Amino acid sequence: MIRKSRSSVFIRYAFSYIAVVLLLFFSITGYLYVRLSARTREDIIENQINRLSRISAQHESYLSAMLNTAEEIGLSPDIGFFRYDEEPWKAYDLQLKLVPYTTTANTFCGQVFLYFSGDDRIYSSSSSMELSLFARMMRYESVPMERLTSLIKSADRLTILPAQQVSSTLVDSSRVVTFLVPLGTSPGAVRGLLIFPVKDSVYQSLFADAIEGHINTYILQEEVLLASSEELPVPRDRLEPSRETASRLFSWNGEDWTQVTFSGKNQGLWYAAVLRNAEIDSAVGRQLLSNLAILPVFVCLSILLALWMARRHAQPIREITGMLSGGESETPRDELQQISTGIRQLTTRNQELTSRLDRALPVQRHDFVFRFVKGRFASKEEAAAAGRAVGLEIDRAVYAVILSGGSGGEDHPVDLGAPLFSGFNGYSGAGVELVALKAALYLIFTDEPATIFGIAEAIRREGEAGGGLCVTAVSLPHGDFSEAPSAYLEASAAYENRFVMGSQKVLRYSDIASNLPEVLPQARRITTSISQALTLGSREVLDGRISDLLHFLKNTNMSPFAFRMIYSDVINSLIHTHSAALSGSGPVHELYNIFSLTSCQSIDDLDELLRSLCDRLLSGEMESGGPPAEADEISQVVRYMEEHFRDPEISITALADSFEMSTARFSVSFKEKMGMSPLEYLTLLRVEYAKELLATTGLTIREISTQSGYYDPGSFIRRFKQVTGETPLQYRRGRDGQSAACSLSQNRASPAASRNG
Amino acid sequence: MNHSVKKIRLLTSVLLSFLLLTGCASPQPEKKAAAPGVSLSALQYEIENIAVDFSNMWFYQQIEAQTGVHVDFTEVKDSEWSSSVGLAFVRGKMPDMILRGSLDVETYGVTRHLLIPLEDYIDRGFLPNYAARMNQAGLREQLTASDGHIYQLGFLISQGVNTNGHFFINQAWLDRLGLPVPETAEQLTETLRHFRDDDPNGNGQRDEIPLECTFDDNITGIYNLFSFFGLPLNEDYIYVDREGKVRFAPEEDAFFDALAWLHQLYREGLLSADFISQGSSIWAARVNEGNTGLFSYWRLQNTALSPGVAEQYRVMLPVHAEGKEACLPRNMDIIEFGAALTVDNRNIEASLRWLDAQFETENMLISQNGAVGDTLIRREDGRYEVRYVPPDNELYQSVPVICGQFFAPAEYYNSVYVPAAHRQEKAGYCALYEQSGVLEPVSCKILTSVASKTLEQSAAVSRLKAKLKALTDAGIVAMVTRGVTEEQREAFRKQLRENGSGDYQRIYQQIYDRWKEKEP
Repeated sequence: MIRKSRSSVFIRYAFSYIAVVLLLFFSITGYLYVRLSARTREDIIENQINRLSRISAQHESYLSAMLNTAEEIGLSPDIGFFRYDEEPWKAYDLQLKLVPYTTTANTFCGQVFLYFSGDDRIYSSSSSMELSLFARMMRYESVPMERLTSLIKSADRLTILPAQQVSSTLVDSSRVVTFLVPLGTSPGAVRGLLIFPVKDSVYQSLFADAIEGHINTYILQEEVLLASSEELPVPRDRLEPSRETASRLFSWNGEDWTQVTFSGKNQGLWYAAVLRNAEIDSAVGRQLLSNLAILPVFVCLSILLALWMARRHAQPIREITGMLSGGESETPRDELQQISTGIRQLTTRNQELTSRLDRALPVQRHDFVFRFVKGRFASKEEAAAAGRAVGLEIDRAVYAVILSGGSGGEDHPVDLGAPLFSGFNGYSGAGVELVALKAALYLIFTDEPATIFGIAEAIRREGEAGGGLCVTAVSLPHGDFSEAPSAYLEASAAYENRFVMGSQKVLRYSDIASNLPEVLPQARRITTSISQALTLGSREVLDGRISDLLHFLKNTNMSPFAFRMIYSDVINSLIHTHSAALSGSGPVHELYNIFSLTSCQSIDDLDELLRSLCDRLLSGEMESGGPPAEADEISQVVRYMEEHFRDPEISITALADSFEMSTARFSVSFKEKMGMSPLEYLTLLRVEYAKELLATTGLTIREISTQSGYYDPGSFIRRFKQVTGETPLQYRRGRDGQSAACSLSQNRASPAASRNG
Repeated sequence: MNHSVKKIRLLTSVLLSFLLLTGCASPQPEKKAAAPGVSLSALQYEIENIAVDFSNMWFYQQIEAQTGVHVDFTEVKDSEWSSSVGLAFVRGKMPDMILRGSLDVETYGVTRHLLIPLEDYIDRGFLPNYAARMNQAGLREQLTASDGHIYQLGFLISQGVNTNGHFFINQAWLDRLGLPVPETAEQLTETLRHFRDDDPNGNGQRDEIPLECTFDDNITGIYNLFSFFGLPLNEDYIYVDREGKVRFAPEEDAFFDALAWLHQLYREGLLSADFISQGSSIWAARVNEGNTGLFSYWRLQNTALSPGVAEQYRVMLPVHAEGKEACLPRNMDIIEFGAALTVDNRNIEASLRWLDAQFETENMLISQNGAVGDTLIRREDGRYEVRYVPPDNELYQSVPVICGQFFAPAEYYNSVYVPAAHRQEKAGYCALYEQSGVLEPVSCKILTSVASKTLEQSAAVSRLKAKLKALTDAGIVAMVTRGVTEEQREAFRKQLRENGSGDYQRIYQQIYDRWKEKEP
């Protein structure tokens, strides 16, 4: 159904465009038909007139040549009347004198015959004969000998005998049009006439294009048809002579005809062509077809273009509709309505997501602080981008770590954006709660180092204002982001000296810095020897070197902080030296966690941590590597927590025990894998589930608390507010009026989505 | 000793054979057929009113199958032949061959060197069929150009015609009047008077024409009548006497004697007054009226004469005036242009093989008469005979007829071909006249058509002939109709000499003398 609905958009577009194309096609065709048919008809008539004009010019040039020849012979001083029986030798001279005229006449007739009035002989350039013999030899088809003799003897003006068959040896036997041309009427001219037998083939050559075009063409003198290209298709009397060049329509035998007439200049000659109107219409049609033949090609191309455009325009609508309809099985609606509805839903969802993102900002800042302190950012730019994502401008001159702990008041970090610190400018910072230390950790980025200590003092005062004791320790200011773990260690060291230094002031690492620089070179030598043992791949040597290190540390008078610093330095050195060996065994940072280091309270704890790292390094050196089993184990823990987070009995210690790991190592591994501690993740799962119940059910806060894995509704409310920024009741009120089904599906998808990043 | 001589002879034979095989640089004919794929181009003459598709003609397909040579023809109508040939020789690439029509070998061969001399190929056997007939008949001289080379293959259908116009007297009238066939000019004059006066046609009217003729030709013309006085007057007005001297006929005494006799006939109404102006068609119309006593003509059968009229006549030997021997102009077979090879031809051997295949006897007769078994049959005596002639030039659909290659001297032709009845009739008259000794010893055609002339000689005789012909014909008309006086005779001779009769005669004498030197 949805598919059908989607097709309709394309079809509607296609129909619209094709309709426009066809409308243009028919409009243009109609316009051209009207214009071209009239013009083509006029052209055909004009062509016929031009053709008849050419025939007339050619034919009358023949006639002029004959008249001129007759005039010349009539006036020639060398040609005169004589009687053959009296002066026969003159016939010989006459024949020679007629030769040039015969040559001239050969362009349109084969022979010229001369007759002197009053004589009884006919002369040509090759023969002379009695008139009676001439008449007998010519044998005209429709002119008897006596009639021909009479015509010749009496002709005193141009006479034309129409085309007819002549069977004679005097001229080629064929159809002949005979011109009897008087020698001239000028004073002194010889009386007589010239006889020009013009072969019908000369006329047929005049009509050549007419014959090829199947057009009947006629040459007439007054009412007499002299020659024609074909037999008349209509009776002769249907042709009307005209002194004007014109065309006329007439009907005969149930057909319409067009007569085109061209009037000659001489001797009452006129020329006509008769065409069937059906043939004219056919010619018009052919002309139109030839002119319009290209249009269907354009139409086809235009239709293809229209289909392509329709498809192109429908495609995004389809895709948007598909995205917005997303598996709905509703009755097909108009795509645009679907899009409209979908956009409204998206807007609502976007607002909700924005709201949720805003509420999740503290969590994200929490994550950012941990990652920064652990040195997880590969570059300063990456750290700055991550900071901006959580609303922190950290690209500043220096930064420092502040640890703050106390016996009373709120157990969550102070909001560094709160008005409490409004007296300081040019800083940015965030804080997180360190549950294990019962302390809060603050990261302060500033362009002015003095600001750090001002803020530390403000935190201390804030803590004490809550009614209890507050200890605040601050690291040295650092500029390099990669030194963040060291900064934490510095703050941690200062914090651990709270019992010595008292809680009345901010504890500074610089105040407790001891002989660390003196012991570091020797420790590094041992580190180098451990590194060499790792390279050798000898576990025996490695154990000996680690024992050397422990012996050195135990026999050296230094604080636990110094131990940690040395260890941190040792471990960092080992990781960087042997990172290539660890490239196939997952992220390097999984091997080392500053918080696990600070959680070590004895040299033995540090020993365990170092040996574990060296084992990993050694196995990485000896094998090509493979994912550490711990990663899989953490995944199992995550799955277990997702399935059992509603159980109030679940605890981090129990989880660590179930996977045969120490609590500290479990916490470190989990945080490496998930970016947060097991407890934070457990809290997040429970809060998300509670939000779902709050939005989709009418359960009480207590019931929701129990179903979310909390025995105590107070703890639930506190954790809920810690994570979301609002109480469960506030959250429920904010959800009023929203689609329960939508919320349910969205909230169900959330934990997995957030876990996968 | 004998053994050594045999060895030397054997060694000598081997050496000679080797030298013959390797030392001869002249062209030698290949006995095998040419490799397939040889393709030639040809400019082919075509009769004006017949469209012929030579490229797809059955006959040439047969020749191609026999020789392995394909020819692409470019057909040219008669009216365009001269200009097309001229254009062919100025274009970048000339056709390989030029076939039939006419070709000025003096211009294109001797002067411009655009034709291949063929005598070496003929002599070395590249054209065995053609060469045997040409050399056998002694016709080689006709084909030899002024520079001694042979640039063309001839076209010859010899029927042994030695006389154009034979005399035919009305045997029915002679029988009716009881008169013998006249043998002298006087007897003829008397016979003509009887024809005029004694109503031989029996219609009671004096409408008989005793002697009918046209004017200036050797078939029906008045020229033949000069033979009664021993003068072989022809259209070139020259002849060779028995001493081998070229003579200009209009200056001879016999010319004027004949004119005086003709004037007598004219004056007495024995000679048709229309001879001055009538053409051949008018002449035929008059003769066919059945009122003519004597005329000269080609033959009686299959001519313009109606059969009913023709059967009244019988051939008559020319009469002779007192003290004279009759002497008619002698005709002879003139070889026409058959084929030539241009210097662009790169397949001379293949071209000659293709041409000579057409001269093979059966091929040649087929090319003229159609396929054997169809229009042509082979008789038991081995000779070929035409069974029938298809109407409307149908033959041209399959064979080239006169547009093809043909070379048949009379003796050879008669040995392989039985001519049609009307040709046999003509041959009989020719044999009679030959046997009767009434023909001039040397044909004028030797001077005008056979002996080679330089371009300058050709131009000069053409120019002189035009003037001399006008004078001579006007003189004949005047003297026949008005008589011949001594003063007129001298004035006429003077006029002829002033218009170059001496030069005309001298040039032809040179031409003849040169021909005589080279004649075999």
